[in-house]
Amino acid sequence: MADLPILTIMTFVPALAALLIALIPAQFENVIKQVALSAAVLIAIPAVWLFFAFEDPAAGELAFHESIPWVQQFRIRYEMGIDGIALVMVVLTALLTPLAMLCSWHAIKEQVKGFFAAMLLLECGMIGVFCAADLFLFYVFWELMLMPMALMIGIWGGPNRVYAAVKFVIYTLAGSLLMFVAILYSYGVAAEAIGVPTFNIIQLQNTLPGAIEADVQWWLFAAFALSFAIKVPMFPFHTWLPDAHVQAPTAGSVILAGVLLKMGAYGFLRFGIPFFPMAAAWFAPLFIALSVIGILYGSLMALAQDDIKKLIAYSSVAHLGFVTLGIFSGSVMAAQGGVMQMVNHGISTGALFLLVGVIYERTHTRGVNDFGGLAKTMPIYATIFLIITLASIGLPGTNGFVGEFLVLNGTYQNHPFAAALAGLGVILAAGYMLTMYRNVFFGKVPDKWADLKDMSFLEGVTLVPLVIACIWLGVLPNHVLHKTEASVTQVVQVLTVATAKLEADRKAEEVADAR
Amino acid sequence: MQDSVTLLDWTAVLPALSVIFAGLFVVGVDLFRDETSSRWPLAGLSLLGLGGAIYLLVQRLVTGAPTIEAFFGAVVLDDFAALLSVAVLVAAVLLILISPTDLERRGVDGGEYYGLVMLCTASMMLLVASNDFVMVFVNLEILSLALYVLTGITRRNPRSNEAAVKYLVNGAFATGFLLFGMTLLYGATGTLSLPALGLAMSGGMESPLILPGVGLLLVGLAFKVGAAPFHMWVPDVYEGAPTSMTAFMSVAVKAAGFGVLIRILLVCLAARPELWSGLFWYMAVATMVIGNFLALRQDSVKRMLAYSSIAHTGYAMVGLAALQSTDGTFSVDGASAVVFYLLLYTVMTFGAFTFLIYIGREVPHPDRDRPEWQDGEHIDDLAGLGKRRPWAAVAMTILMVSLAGIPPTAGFFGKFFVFSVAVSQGHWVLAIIGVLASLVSIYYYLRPVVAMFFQPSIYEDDVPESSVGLVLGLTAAATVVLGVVPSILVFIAVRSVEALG
Repeated sequence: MADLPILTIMTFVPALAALLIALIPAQFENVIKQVALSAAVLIAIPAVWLFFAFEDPAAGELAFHESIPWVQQFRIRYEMGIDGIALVMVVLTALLTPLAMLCSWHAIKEQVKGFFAAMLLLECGMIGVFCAADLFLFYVFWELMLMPMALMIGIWGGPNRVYAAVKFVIYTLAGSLLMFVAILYSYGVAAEAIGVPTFNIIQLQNTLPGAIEADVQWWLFAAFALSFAIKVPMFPFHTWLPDAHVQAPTAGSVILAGVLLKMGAYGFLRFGIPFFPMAAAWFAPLFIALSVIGILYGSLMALAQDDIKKLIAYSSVAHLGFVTLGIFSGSVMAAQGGVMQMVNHGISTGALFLLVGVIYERTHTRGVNDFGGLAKTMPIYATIFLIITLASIGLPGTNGFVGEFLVLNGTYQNHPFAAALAGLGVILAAGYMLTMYRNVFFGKVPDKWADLKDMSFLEGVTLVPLVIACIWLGVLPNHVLHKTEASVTQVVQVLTVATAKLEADRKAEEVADAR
Repeated sequence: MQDSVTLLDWTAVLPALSVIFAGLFVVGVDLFRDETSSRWPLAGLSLLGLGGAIYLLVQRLVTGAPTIEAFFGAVVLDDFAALLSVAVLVAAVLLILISPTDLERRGVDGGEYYGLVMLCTASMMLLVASNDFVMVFVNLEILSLALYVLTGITRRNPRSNEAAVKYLVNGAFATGFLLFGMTLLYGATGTLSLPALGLAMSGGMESPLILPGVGLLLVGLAFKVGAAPFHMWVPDVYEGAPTSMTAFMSVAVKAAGFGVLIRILLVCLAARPELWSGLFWYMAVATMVIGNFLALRQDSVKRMLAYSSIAHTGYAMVGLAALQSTDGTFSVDGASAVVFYLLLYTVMTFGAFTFLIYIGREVPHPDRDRPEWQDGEHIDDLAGLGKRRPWAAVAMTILMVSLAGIPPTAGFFGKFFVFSVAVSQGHWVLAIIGVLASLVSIYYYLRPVVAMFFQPSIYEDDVPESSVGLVLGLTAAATVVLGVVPSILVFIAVRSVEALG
């Protein structure tokens, strides 16, 4: 199995399945759903294998590497390969997609064919983004995800879907087009430094930091960072997220929260920091500040929300604040926590959106205050919701605790003040999540919801794996942390060295000024 | 220098002759045709002529046959001419494929239409092969005259007539500039041949006539390709002309116009880039900004596409501005990028206009009993097509995504080529402006997608299947294929420009 181009298979089986679905006449809805789900499950199986088969590649190499020329004139290659961080993201993507499909099984009633085709194309783009080892290829996948997601929001979304879809596209592209110019510039610089043009990510990582002067790095990093910060989204680029989340269908929200948001953080780890370490070190305090603001702002906004989906959307802003805080804090522990938090957020927020979908299906409302006493009528639902809520808050024993603890503990070593403020976010999280839980599940049952049915078997099937994952990663987080340790350490080292150099330069300047 | 015309001279123009003779033959056949019978035989004959020309040229490109200079150096058939001729011919083939349905709906007779299209195509082919100002001028005039008539071919449609007159007046104006520029250059150097002019320029020739000569010449050509600030005619003419003619005009004239522009720049003016590269810098910025911003507010998709074609002229001009790097060195990479861009642009823009023809419908005419055919035009005409015509809507979405420059489509690769050359030549400011301008374009390219997929239908009438759908499918498929495997085309584009440099 080792010789198979496993990453290519995982990326393009969904695309082929989408093509197949396009050829099935639209009235065979069940066949279409089954083909889509089989393809997604077919990807999930090798993903699990990949997770256990993955061993840390030697420094400067990638696991499961594939490489063939694509466009010779520009030395663009079709190159796939993953490191520990990418591995975790690929597995998360491959496991969340079938669940998102299952939750759409009955929820999507119109244009079933288009929906599942879009879902599969989206999966192709997402897995491709994490697997690409050529910067050009990465960019192609990065943008490939755009249209399917936009269509998903725009066709199957809520009442204000057109606005949300257009806003999503324009925000995302505003960032990525500037990144595109920065990619072109870096490509030119690397071509001069190496002698041959290349888009190979590893080669760029080795060449770019030494080849670009600090003040040019500043601009290039800014261009990359804008794109990633919009995608994460970091405060103040987050305004597209609540719109997109609230309007998207459940499956769209799950994928958006579970995978798409991680791409910004992944971009920082894989490109932003390794390509332009000096600039990253310079920007790090700003990003730490923005992360803390994001955590507090997101939490406070979540406290004020009336719509459960919107509440979860703002809680995402806060959770991803922890991720970026960990990445930029300059400690391995915190960065590991950040990556862990990426996975956690994918699982718990994905699950929360699925749970909201369950109740929305029955009642067609998501208002926190429209419900009450659901714990009596829907006990299984209430139990699962509670576990996920606690995971999202970060209760010890669940995955959320591990991530937040590592981030806060690691950050405290370098930036105690930031860690203290971010700690407030954990308390606020308990505040908004538990308030929401109380309002929905306890108290008096409104008359119109007196006979709501508890979760169906299908809904259970979509949620139980996520509950298991929450507890599994809470108890045995090393399963993930071991995989990512080497890659994360590398990135943090690059950042630490650059920070030290920046400090030294500053001191030297001060000494020179004093004279 | 040879002193008589030999057989070799004729082989250089054989592809164009194949088109011309097919055109004349069609006009002849039309005399014996029953007026109510199908137009497919005429279209078939035309396709035969175009196919012959494509075969000859593609064979040249594949085998890498040597350049032929013919008719005392007035015409030169090199890879560059061959490649751009193929682009023009592809546009012509697509036009002919939709023409039988299109003409019948519009109530236009066949003969003169095919004759004019073929004449126009042949003159474009000769234009990109012209190596002499007289040839340039004559071919430019033939193609313009044919297009003036074709723009007004729907005689009873006042909009079509208005567009034809506007085009004629503006075109004549541009021709005046062009001719005056040529005259001044002739006065300065005493020659009309492009290579001889290039030699005089690189020989350090100084004359007060050169700067105004070059300026007027470039203004004339900028008119033809629709670059700002000489773009005013484009939206009106494109909107008024029958949509099929708009499609043909917007791609073929642009390919031919840029072809002759690049040849003049590389063959005559390469030695003095400081005379013109700054001009292209500013024109590129103005064209991209004006095209993209004015397209934003258009409710007519046809007019929006007209402004979008101005914007794309701007992107191509970025490549021309990048011929001279910021530190003053000259490199032909920019021209390769433009040629590549033009090839992609031909396919995707033709496809987008074809879509408007495809979704057309019959509307009652106030003065006549017979309902009148109307192409899709307003954004509302597209509403709900995602449900009614999912395949066509998907094709249009692909074309819009490609025009917006989003991967994995051809348009993205074209932009990548142009902007990467610009950045590598130090013009990163231009690249940033270009990228920001294309960010603006996302909004208006999304509007048709939004209308098709996110809005309920306004009209319920069924769209009849025809060869128009075939062309739409072909262009959309080609857009994706060229986006995924662009290497061959890049290779040919680079080689064709090397032949000039």
